[in-house]
Amino acid sequence: MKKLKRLSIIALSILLMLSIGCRRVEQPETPEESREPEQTKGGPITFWTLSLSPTFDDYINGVIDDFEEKNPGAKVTWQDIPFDQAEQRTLAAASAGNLADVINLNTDFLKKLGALGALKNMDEAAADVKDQYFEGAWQAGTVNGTAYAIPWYLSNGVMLYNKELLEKAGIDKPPTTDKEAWDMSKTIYEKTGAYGQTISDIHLYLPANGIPIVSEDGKKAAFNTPDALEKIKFFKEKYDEGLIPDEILLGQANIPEWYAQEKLVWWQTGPQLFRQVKDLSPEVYEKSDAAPAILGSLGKSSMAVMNVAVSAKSKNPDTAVKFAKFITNSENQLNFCKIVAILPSTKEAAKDEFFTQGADSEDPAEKGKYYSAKQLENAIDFFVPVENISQINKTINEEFHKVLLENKDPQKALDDAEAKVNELLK
Amino acid sequence: MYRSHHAWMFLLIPGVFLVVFTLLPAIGALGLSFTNYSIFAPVEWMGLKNYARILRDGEFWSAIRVTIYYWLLVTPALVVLPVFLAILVNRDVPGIAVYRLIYYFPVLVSVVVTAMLWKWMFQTDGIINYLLSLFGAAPKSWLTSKNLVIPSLAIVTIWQGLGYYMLFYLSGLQSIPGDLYEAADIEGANFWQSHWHITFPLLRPVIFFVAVVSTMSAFKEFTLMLTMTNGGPIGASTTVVFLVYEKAFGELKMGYASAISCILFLIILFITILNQRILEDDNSV
Amino acid sequence: MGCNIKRKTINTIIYHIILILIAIVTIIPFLWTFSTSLKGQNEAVFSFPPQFIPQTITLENYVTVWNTLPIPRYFINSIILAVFGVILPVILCSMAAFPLARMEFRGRQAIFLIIMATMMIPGEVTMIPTYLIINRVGLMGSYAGIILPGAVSAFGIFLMRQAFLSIPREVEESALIDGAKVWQIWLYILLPMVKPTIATLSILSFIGSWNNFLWPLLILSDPDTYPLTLGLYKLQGTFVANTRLIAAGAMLALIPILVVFLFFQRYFIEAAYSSAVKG
Repeated sequence: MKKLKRLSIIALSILLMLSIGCRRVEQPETPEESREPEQTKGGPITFWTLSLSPTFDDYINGVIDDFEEKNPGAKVTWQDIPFDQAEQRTLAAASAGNLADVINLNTDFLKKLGALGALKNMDEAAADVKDQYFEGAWQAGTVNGTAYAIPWYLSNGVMLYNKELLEKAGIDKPPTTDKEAWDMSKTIYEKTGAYGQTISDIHLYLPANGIPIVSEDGKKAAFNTPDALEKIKFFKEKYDEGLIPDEILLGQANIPEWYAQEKLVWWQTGPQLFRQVKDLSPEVYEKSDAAPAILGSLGKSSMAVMNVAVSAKSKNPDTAVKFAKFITNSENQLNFCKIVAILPSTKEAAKDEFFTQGADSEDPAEKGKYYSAKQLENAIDFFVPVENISQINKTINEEFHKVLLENKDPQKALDDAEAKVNELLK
Repeated sequence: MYRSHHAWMFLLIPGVFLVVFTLLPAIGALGLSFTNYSIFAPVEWMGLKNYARILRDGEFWSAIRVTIYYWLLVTPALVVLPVFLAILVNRDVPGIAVYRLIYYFPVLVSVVVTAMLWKWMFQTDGIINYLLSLFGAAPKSWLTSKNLVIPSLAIVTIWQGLGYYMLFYLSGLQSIPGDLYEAADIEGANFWQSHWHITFPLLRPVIFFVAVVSTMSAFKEFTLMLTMTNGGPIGASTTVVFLVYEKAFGELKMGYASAISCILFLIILFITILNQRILEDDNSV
Repeated sequence: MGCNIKRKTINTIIYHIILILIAIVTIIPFLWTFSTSLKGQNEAVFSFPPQFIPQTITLENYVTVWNTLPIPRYFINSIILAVFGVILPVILCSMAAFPLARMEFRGRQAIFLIIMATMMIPGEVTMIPTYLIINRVGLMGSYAGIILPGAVSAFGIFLMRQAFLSIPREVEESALIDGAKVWQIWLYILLPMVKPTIATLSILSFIGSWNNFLWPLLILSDPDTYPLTLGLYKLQGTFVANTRLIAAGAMLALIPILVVFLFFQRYFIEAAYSSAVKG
C-alpha cells in the first residue's frame, strides 16, 4: 500500500514536470517582436573575439576608437572569450537572443551557425568589398553556396625544423616533397629515434592531394577512390614501420612540446606558433630554422582562416556590417600582422613590402612569416563547405585510425566512411 | 514531536531556490528531450522519436558500456580506500593538518593542470613506463590504447577522489565517540575488529553518501575525457555525458542530447535506489 | 613494558612512513606546478627525467602575471563571490536538510527523492534552461546571476541530511520537553553537533565558487567584474601558451584555497577533542 502511494506520487510529479515542460519549450517558438526598421544611423554594437585579450588589447581598442571616431554615434563594446569555451558561450547567448552583433568565429563553427540561419549573408551585405579579399579566404566563410563571414586573419603552414637533428641523421636539407619527407623520416628514426613526417587526421591531407571529401554539389561523399585507398595503405605501412606514434596519430601529443623535447625533427604549422617552442625550450629554438611547407600533389598550401560574422538578429545591422568591414580592411589587418606573425586576408595588405622581408632572417618565426606570405597566393581553405563538417571529418578520421590501429581492411574502412558521410549529407 | 508546518517552514526558502534554479531547468531539459530544439531553428515536437533513435544508436550503447566500465572501476575504490585514509589521519598528532591538506591537493589543483600532468606521466616514454621498466615490464601505451584508456582515466579519478571523499569520512569519524574505541581496546579487540564493529556500522550514512555521490559523478564524468583523451582512441573513452556534450554543443542537437541525459538519469536513479536499499538504515528514515 | 614502548615507536614510524608515501603521490602536481612557476625563460618545462628543482629560481613569471592582468581586482571579485557562495549554501542547505532528516511529515520521501533526482541530470543539458531563466528574471551580467543558482544545491542538502541523521534522537527530545522552539533546536543544538560537516560543506562550496569558470563566463560581460579563475584564462591566448605563466597564475589562485582549507579543517580537530574529553 505504502509503495503504491509512493509510486503514485512519483508518477504525479513526473506528469507535473511534463506539463510545465511543454509550456516551457514553446518559449523559443514565440515569434520575435516585429522586426525593427533598418536603422541607418550608428548605434551600440557588441564585438566578440576569441582569446585575443590581453595580448592585443591596445590594438583592438585602437581599432575600435578609430571606428567610433569615423562613425559618430557608433559605440562598440568589446568582449574577449576564451577559445575553448567559445561554442558554449555563443550558443547560450544565442538561446536567449543575446548574441553579439559582430562575432569572431573559426571556420567550422561558422559553418554550423551559418547553415542554421544565425548569421548575415555577407555575399550581399559586404558585396562592395568582396573583391578586396583573397578568393580562397572568402570561400572559408561559405556554406551551401553562401558566404556568412568576412575573412579576417589567416595562417598558413610552414616548416620549423631542427638543424642539429637533421645533421645527426646525415641529411643536409629539409624535405620538399611528401615522398622525400617519408624517406628521410625512416633514416632519421633509425639514426636518432626522433620522428619526422607524421600524420594524425586525413581530412585535410586528402583534398590537398587531389581527393575531395564531398562532390561538387555537396550531396555525396567523393573520397572513396582507388587513389585514397592507395594513400591509406601507404600510411598503414609507415605506421607498421613505427614512423607514426599513436599519440600523434590520435592527436594526443602536444606537438610544440614534442618538438621542444627533440622528439620531432620538424613541425608544420603557422609561424605565429613558433613562439611556443621558444617559450618551452629556447635552446631547441636556437637550433631551428624555417622552410617552406611540404605541399600535397595538388600543389596548394592549406590555410586556416579566422572569420568575422554579423548576427542575423543584430539590432544595428548597418553599424555591425560596417565594423566587420572596418576591422578586416587592409590597413587594420596590416597593422595587426605587424604585431604577430599572421597573414592578412586582403590582397592589398598582402602586397605590402613588410611581407617580402625576412627571407634571410636568423629568427625562424620571421623567416617562416616570409615563406608563409609567399605561399599565400597559392593557398586555399580545404574545409568542406557543408554544415555537418565536423562530424564528416570525425567519421573519416575515425575510420582511418581504425585501419592503422585495429588493422581494419582499408577498403572496408573507406566503404563504411562513405556510407556514414552520405548519411550525414542527406 | 515536530509538526508538519515546522517542516515546511524550514523547506520554504531553500525550496524556492531549488525549484527555480535546479528543478525548473531539469524539467526544461526533460521537455526539450521531446523536441528537436537546436537553438536557432524553429522547435518541433518529436514525441518519443529521440528516444527511439537513441536506442538504435550504436554510439549511445558504446558510451553506456564505457561509462559502466568506468563506474565499476572507480566507485568501489572510492567507497573503500578513503575510509582507510580517513582513519589514518583521524589522529591528533603534530602536523596532521598538513598531511590532510596534502592529501586534499589533487582536488584543489585545476583540471587543466591535472590533465597536463597526467598526460605527461602517461606518455609512452613517461614516468609510469619508466617505473614499470625498473621491474622489467614492457612499456604500455596508456591513453592511446583501446583497452587501457579507461583504466588509466580511472586511476586519475581515484587519485583525485581519495582526498575528496576522505574529507566526508573524516567528518563522519569525528562524530563517533572516542570512548567506544577505548572500550573495545580494553576488551582486547585489534585494529580490524574494532573498526569492523564500530567504525563501519556508524559510518553507514556517510558510506551511503559517498557511494551515491561517487556513482553520480562517475556517470556524469566527462571533463577528464575532454581534457585528456577527447573521447578517444576511436570512441573508447566517450562516456555518456561526453556524447551529450558532443551532441549538444558540437552538433547543436539539444533535444537529442537532452533525451540521452534523461535516459542516463533513469539509470542513475535506478542505481541510487538500489544503493539506498542496500546501505540506508531503514529505521532511521 | 619496555618491549611495549619499542613496539609503539615502531608503529609510529611505520605510521609516518605510510603518511609520507601517500603524501608524495598526492603532492606531485602541486610541486610540479610550483616548480614550473619558478622556472626562468631558459629552462625547459617538460623534460625527462622531470626537473623539480629549477636551475635558477625566478619570480619573473609572477611579476609578468601581476603586470599583465589586474590581479587585485580579480581577487576582490572572487572573494565577493566566494563569501556569498559559502554562506548561502551552508545556511540554506542545513535548513532544508533539518526536516528531511529529523521530522516525519507527508511527502518527505518524495521531496527527498526529487532533490536527489535533480543531482542526476548532467549540467550540460540544464545549462541552457538555467541561462534562459537567469535571462528572464533579469540577472544577466550581475553577481546575483552567479550566486543564486548555486545558493541551494541538492548535493549540500544531501550532505547535511546525512550528518543530521547520525545524531541520536534523545538529544532534541529532551530539548523539546524543556520547551525549546524548533528553530532554537536547529540553531543551538543540532548545528553545533555537525560542525565538521559544515566545515566540509564550507570548504567544498568555497572551492566550487573559487574555481567556477564556465558559469561566470556565460553570465558576465564586463571583464572588470571577472573573478580570478576566469581572468587567469587570459594567459592562454590564441598565439601564446606559456606554461610557466599559467603555472604562476594557478599558484596565485591556489593560495586562498589553502588558507580557507587550513582555517576550516581545525574544526575537525576541535570536534575530535570534544568527543574525547566527553568520553
